[in-house]
Amino acid sequence: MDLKEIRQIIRIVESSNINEFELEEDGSRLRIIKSHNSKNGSYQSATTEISHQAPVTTAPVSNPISVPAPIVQETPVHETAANILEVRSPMVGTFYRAPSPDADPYVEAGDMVSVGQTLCIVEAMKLMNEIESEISGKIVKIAVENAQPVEYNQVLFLIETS
Amino acid sequence: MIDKNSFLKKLNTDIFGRHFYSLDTIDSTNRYALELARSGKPQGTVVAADYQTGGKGRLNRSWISPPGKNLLFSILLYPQTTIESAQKITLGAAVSVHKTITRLLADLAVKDYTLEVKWPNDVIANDKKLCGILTESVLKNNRIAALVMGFGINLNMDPDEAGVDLASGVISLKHIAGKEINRQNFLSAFLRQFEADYFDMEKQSYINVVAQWKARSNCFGKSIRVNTGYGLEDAVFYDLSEQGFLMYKTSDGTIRELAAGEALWQ
Repeated sequence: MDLKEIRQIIRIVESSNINEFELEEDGSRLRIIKSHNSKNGSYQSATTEISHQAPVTTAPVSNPISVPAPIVQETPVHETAANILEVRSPMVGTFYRAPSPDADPYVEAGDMVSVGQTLCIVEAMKLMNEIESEISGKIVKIAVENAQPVEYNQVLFLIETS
Repeated sequence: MIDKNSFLKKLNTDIFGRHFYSLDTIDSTNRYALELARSGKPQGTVVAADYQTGGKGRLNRSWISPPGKNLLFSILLYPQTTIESAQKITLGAAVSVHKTITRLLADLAVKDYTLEVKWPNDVIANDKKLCGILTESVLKNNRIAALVMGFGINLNMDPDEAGVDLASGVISLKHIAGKEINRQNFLSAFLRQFEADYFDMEKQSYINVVAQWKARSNCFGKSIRVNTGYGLEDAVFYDLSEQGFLMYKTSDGTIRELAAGEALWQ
């Protein structure tokens, strides 16, 4: 979790009717409790505890990242229609749909994807970043052509959750 | 195959290479290292192989290396910084290779050679390729879950062993030094160098990497052709941005940043 994400979560909690919110991810814990007498719903405290006991792994399902469901349901940020979520690029780079030019694409429109499944590669400076899905659902749109440049936060995929 | 026991006796790092896998033949050391990440292996785990059947360059361009002559290895890392900072690790790794080779050749009193880094992370000696690096990461929730760096360093390959097509474009350290280079000694020296550099980079959020890279490059002012993803453009290598992106000058004098795409050398 970086500061930007924490701010985003605080905003979401502020504008919701949630009074208390807790998120654990990669050994970091974020807890937000709204003040009861607050008129504008501002938070009372936000604490972040970071521990570095276990190395972060790419284990597809066992990782705590696979339970961000409450956020996804509460956030309007990346939601376009009722149950359509956007997957955005975490960085500037070149978008690739397959691991190599002659390989099959990781996903096609219409495919069902699960948490931890590789969706694409975004490459910058010879660093090939595999982007894993954080949600399960059906790919309804691939928003970028293969081998095209992408900007930070540009929409890459639309995924319909069930 | 690198003998694990004798290698570990030579190794004088804190963590890099302490978990060491020495393989005869593997499709790709990067792929193997990513699997080790999935099973929770620690930072600094190294996978070395004598031969790669599916050795990859960028976009799966094949990396050819005769068995047992060169160094092919991958290292597993878990950077704690942002993606934007950590992507400069590709530049930093080339700098660490450059430093290791410079020290080795100084120890051998070899003077008549040139050595430079080429954007983003090739190491070039006497205008020929000596080392290639391919980095792969897994991103989760906008964070780096695991990152592997695969190195191919030409140590003892003879020019004609690289295959006819590559013979003119590659060089080995043996060729420059005039003697065989011990693979274990080189790997140990590199891991020690890279371990120190990596933890410095992580501590300082990779802010000094670009300057270190620029001090070892001879790219500036050279003619390049850039592929921006929208087409090819002839240009001149102008500078590196703070993020490590190549900045180029077009024929009409405009300076642009190559955030995505690649540079082709003329």
